Amino acid sequence: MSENEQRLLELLKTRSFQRGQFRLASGETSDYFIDGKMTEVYSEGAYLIGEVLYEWTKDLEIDAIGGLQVGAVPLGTAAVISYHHRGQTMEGFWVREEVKSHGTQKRVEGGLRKGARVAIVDDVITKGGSALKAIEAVREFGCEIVLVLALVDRLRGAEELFRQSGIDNYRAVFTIRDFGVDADVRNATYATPR
Amino acid sequence: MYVTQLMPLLVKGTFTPGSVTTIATLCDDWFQDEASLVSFVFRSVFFDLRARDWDQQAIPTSEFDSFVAEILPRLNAALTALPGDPTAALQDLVLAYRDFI
Repeated sequence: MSENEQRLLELLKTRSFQRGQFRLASGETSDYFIDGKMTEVYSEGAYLIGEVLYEWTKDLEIDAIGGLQVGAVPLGTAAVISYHHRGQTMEGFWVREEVKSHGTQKRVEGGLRKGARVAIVDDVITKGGSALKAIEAVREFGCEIVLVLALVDRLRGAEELFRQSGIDNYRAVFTIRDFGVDADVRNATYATPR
Repeated sequence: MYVTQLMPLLVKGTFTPGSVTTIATLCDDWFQDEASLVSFVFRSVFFDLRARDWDQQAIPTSEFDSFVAEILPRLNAALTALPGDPTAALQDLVLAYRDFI
């Protein structure tokens, strides 16, 4: 774990990690919650997220980075700023949750182009359903998904869902085990980068 | 058509925070196709839940349980009242929703 990752983990633990009784989007219960926004829109947190995402993606020759609104918006923004600080250009984008047939909203907002090499990011992944919506939208747009990257994986089966969807390049910067939570997941294999 | 599509999504035990997006979209279509007091109220409720991040990672269990206990039955009552006059059921629903939030 890099120095930036260690510090980011500290921030996530102190600012975002909450104990309590929660109902997950899937309907399952959980005794913890990660409020990613508390770190993502904090000055040091935003900086560190940008740096960490840069480190994880810098060698992949990607053209764009983004994911499903709302979680991916601060992540993508932080990442493109880090690219800019190094004199490199990078497009950010986000995928809208739904497109209304009677509206004028685009499904994908930002500078995504057909054929682009893309990294999909998400702040907290549980079962992977949200990220999968972004994956499907970006594929439909005609882009190549080079990496799917979670800031935190709650280890509830996302990797398996992605594998079933043809994504074999899923990674997580942190898993819930890094927060001291004993996840009950079989066959979870999360590699650290490079 | 929309009522028969909504009812199975609003069953206790089936309804989850993550289903809010699907239901909100359905209610939006309903309102666009058949603008009425009931479709507007339903659309408002589920758009409001989305604005409260119900479709994100998780919500407090107490909030979810309160919705299931107080709001879900009233949503179903409003649907059941159709095609008759749903005004009384809607009034009951909106007052309960005010207390819920």
